[in-house]
Amino acid sequence: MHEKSLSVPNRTPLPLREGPGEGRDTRGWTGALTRTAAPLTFLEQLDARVKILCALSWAICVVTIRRPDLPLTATYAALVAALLVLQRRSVGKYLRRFATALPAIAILVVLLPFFKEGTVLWQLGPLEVTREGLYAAQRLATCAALCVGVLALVWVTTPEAELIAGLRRLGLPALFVGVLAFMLRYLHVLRPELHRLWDARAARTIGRHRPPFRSATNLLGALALRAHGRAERVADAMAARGYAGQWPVSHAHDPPAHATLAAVLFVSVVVLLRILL
Amino acid sequence: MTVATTAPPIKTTAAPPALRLEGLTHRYPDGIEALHGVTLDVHAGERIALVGPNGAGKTTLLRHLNGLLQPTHGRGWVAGLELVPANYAEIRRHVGFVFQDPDDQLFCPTVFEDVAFAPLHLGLTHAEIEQRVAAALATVGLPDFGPRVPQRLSAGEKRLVALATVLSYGPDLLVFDEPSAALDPQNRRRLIRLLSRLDSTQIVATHDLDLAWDLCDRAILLAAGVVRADGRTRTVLADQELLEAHGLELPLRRQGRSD
Repeated sequence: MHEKSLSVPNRTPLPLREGPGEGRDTRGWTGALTRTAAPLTFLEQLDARVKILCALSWAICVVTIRRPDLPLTATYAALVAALLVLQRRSVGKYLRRFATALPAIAILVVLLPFFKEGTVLWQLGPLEVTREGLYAAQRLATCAALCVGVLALVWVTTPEAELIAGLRRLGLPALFVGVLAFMLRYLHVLRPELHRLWDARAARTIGRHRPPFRSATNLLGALALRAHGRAERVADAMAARGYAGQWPVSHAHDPPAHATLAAVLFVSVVVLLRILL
Repeated sequence: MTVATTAPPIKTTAAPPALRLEGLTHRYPDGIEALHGVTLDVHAGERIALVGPNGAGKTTLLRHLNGLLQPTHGRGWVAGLELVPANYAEIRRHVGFVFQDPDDQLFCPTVFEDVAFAPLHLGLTHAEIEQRVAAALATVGLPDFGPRVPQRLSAGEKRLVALATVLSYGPDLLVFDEPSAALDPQNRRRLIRLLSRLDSTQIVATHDLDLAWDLCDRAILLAAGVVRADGRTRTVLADQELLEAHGLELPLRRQGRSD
């Protein structure tokens, strides 16, 4: 690693004659300190690492439900509803984010009864609906809804930057977190670029709002080339500021005691319910 | 093509130059030769405008200064370190490169993390990094912007934050590629004031000849990869024949107009 061998500049880092606002507190390692909107709800205040670990524990408990189990499923759903009540706001945003996962889940749930071998219940031409397929579809729908329900809550209550920092500090592979971080950052850049390409196409096609398939694929191809060009420039910008292949993890404040306590409590309840019901 | 007489450098001191290029030539893989034997010295504290028409080789030249490109022929030194791959890591500590598009430079989720990126890679402690980020953001007049996300910033704010990302590690040589591009007049003026207050050696590649006129003591005119003129800004940029021969115009101030 080149950066490890670099010496720290031992001169004044900012040779400026004067400067406004010097000495002000601008602490901003991504975490609770980066929040500016107030007041925050309890869930919004929680450390991102705590929320990620709680969501992971939740997902493990949910996917280990082997058979459709109404009492446990209903209790878990009630727990999600209670968290949503605790959050109080952003319910519309929560529902929109929850809905983004529904099409993928729906496709799997609809197809599963036809492809799982077992006791045939109905015959629809060459297709057979099996009892085991229906059970699998029901289980999948339940697990997916419960998991997405909690993940959407984490998504709504955690800014993207905190989520990225939380994943990085939890020790996830740097490459994975880096790809996620760049994707989130540059979606905000590429989306306007796509709109500009779209507008330029519309301006030359005299009001044909729905482009033919070929035109749409050309737009996506042009966007991919632009994204590639930008990726090269970003890599240069990183290299220019000392990046040599590794992204050091910044200092991490320990999660506050109340957040840890809340996490332990939540995981205990979820696991106990899973065992008892 | 008119070739102006090369004026003597502004500063000639006994100290070694902050930057020296000797016969720097760069040929891209497609065969285009963007630089032909560029030779120049830049002394500590100088503020230099690098001007020229589109395709003159300005950006190509700047990208050699911290090893983003390697010369095809010729040699160069930054802070006494030769521009060879073995020295690039150390050279990049001395050179702060502000790219033309701030969205290329601001790649982190928050402003704080972007400004902290270089200090973090220098291995500084948490407290030192926080102090440097605070100082850099205060310098550019955005002391409370640490928690902001880059996509929510205006063009002017992005430009200032991009500057803070290099100020945070205290480079000796600041290199700007079209710093006033996409700025409104007020933000452009604000940027000029800010750059004029910085003591670092500066090389500013720009088409904005009024910015060059206001900010820089020395101007280098590059055209077709060759240094056509190198001298005092108010001499080079007042030479109408020279400028027009290379696709440029007199600064508005020299035309009797102001921005």
